[in-house]
Amino acid sequence: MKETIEFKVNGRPVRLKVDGERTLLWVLRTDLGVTGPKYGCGEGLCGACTVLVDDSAELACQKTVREVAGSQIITIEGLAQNDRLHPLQEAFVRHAGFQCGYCTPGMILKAYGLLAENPTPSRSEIIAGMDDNLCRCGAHTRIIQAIETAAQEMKGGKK
Amino acid sequence: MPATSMNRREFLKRLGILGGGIIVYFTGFDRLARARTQRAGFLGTGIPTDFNAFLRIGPDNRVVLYTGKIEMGQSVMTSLPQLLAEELHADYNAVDIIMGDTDLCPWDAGTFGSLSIRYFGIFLREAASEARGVLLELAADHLKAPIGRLVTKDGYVYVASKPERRVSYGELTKGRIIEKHLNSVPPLKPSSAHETVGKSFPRRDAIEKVTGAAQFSGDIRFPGMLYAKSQKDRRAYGCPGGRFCRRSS
Repeated sequence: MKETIEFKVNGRPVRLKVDGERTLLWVLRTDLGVTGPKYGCGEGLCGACTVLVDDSAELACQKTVREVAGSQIITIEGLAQNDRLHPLQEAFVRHAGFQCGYCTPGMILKAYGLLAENPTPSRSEIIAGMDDNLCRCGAHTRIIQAIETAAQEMKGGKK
Repeated sequence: MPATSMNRREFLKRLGILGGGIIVYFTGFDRLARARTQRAGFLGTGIPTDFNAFLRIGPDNRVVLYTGKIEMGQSVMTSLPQLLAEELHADYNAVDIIMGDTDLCPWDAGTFGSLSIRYFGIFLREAASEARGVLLELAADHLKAPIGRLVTKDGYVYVASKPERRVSYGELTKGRIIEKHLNSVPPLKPSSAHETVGKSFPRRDAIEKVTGAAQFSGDIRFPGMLYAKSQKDRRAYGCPGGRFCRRSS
């Protein structure tokens, strides 16, 4: 059944008449044309679809659009502010924390959620925190380095 | 895929509009080159011998590299320009790359099997080396000095003893289309002489991949595009939740 649902995507208010049971991922990708969140498995097992819902890293394929009504959604497209990359994005560039880049939006936003909860994670806490996000290219060690670098810089007040 | 919509004349016309340049064709008459072409062909990356332009030097001294390869994480958007800059003695930062445009790029069977550098890379280096040879010939005329006394670096040809006497590659090719058919394998730099290859350069696709701007095939949208999904009977496949899974025989 269609209902009117409102939320914000990357600061922009959206008002949609949709079936509230549809997943946030497909509403973002098809209705709104926001393709940064990737479809990987569709079953909540890979993390490619990760977005921020009220600053918490969530799997967009596991959220219905009804569940995010009234929330602030940030996708990878909305992380850079005024054309300035977020320290996590900068660190992923510097360390080449990706190969094909398909998991990268999810990786960066998952790391964002991780650092929001724990700004000074140890290496093993990073590894444990990122465990649900899969990369099949093999960029894992560089992803960890990138998150370590970003954590350092953000601790110094950089955002 | 073969550029069936365009013939050589059409291609040259387009290059003319772009301001000319050097085109190197591989004719494959050389036995060694032909053996290699066939070997590569067996692996699915056969290089046709009639229509295969790899590079163009524009009047602004920028070099465009054409390839049918695509970037999918192996970083060829960055490493192929390194190979080209190395053999052409061009500035790496002056090399642009156009990938997979079937109107402009040489035929290619596809991007797979770790073949981009190992096979296409060889053809690219040979094209660059040959183009450099052509540039030296043009420069000898332009600078009124024998080729043996010329050196090439960062997109310029210099008189070795008088470096102030120089000419850019772009000035040499300006407004002209120079076609060169490669009939033998040109000399390649030994790895000990490499300056650009072997160094790590920032990935050219990095920014678009961390900002979500990178378009993967599933992200491409056309007006009126429809979505299709294969549907399977969950009972017939006996899979909980209707997931795809392998049916046991």
